Amino acid sequence: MTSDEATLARLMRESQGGNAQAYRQLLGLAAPLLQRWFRRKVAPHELDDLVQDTLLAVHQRRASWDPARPFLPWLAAIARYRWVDRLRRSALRNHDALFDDISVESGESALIGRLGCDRLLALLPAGQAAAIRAMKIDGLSVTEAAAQLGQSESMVKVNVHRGLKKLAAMVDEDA
Amino acid sequence: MVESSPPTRLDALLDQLATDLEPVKPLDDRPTALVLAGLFAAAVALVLAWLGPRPGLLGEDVQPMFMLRSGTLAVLAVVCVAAVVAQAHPGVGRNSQGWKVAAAMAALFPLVGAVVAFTDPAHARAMMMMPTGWQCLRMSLMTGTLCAVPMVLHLRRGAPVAPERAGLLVGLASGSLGALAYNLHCPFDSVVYIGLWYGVAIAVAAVAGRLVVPRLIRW
Repeated sequence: MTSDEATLARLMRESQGGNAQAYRQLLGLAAPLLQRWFRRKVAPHELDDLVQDTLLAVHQRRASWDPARPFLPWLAAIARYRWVDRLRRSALRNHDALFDDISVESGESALIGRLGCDRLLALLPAGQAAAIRAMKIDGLSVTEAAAQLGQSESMVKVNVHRGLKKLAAMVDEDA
Repeated sequence: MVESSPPTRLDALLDQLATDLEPVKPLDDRPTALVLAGLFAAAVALVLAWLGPRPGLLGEDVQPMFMLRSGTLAVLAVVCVAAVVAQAHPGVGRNSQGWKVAAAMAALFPLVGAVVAFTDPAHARAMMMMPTGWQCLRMSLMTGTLCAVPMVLHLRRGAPVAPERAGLLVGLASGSLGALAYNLHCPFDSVVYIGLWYGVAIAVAAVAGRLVVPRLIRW
């Protein structure tokens, strides 16, 4: 079973109809997709939570998928919403956890491009994107981020705040 | 099924979700559209019964300005309602910007109104002091709020991924529906009056929608 658009859309149609087996299959295919999509987008210790969050959202909102439309863009929109939401919420917490960089297997640029998180980040002014990357994805503290980026600490905070706000507004805006 | 490792927390969650699965009907836009059409008809009936139709509403001396105003409000309302309904079904890359064009076209009324007001300040002052302006505002916002209800309920059933934009659109849509209903009574055809009072009514609805609706639809 491959996670191509046609297969996923068929499974989702059957899932909406109440076929638990098809649904379990769909979730099983979507989970690794999401893991790969999110790998470079959040701090590693948040990855599992974010994937589960997204799958729960898929479950709760499964009626909002229109069977006449493709499945992957729907999944990507929900995944992105959950991702930005998590970035915003983690912006309220102050976590300075340390972690190792996890290597990402190759050949996934197409999938990551589809989710478009990188593209969203690329739409932000460079200073804001760098601040978000440093603090929210690489997990640096404000002081470390400020030193690395050559911005003042308050500038880093302002950039993260403004960038996340803009990001949230762009979740479904880019084509 | 893809993982070969022993069952994980994730697997347990997926099994649980599959066990809990119940059939769902894909969210259908038509019932919302029908309820909205019904509410709008009720708003029109209310305006006509309570305040009465404007002179010559359907007669031979129907005014071009009235037709322009009705047409603009109707186009803005239809485009914004369609955009609201689409917000319930998210999808990366399927966002439509048509409502911005419709809003820009409708903004010609307040723009032209402002230009005319500058060239004729006495007329502008008279239009500003018009007590019926407040009635226009009240009625448009009242009936508009009524129309917002089915749209908010629709968004709550769907999965809006841009709550702020969805809120703004609900405001624009319901404001223009309310103004469209009131417009059937409104006897004034001055572009200053229309630009000011209709502009304010729709702007207030848009701001209110932007501020209030996201709280109701966030998930």
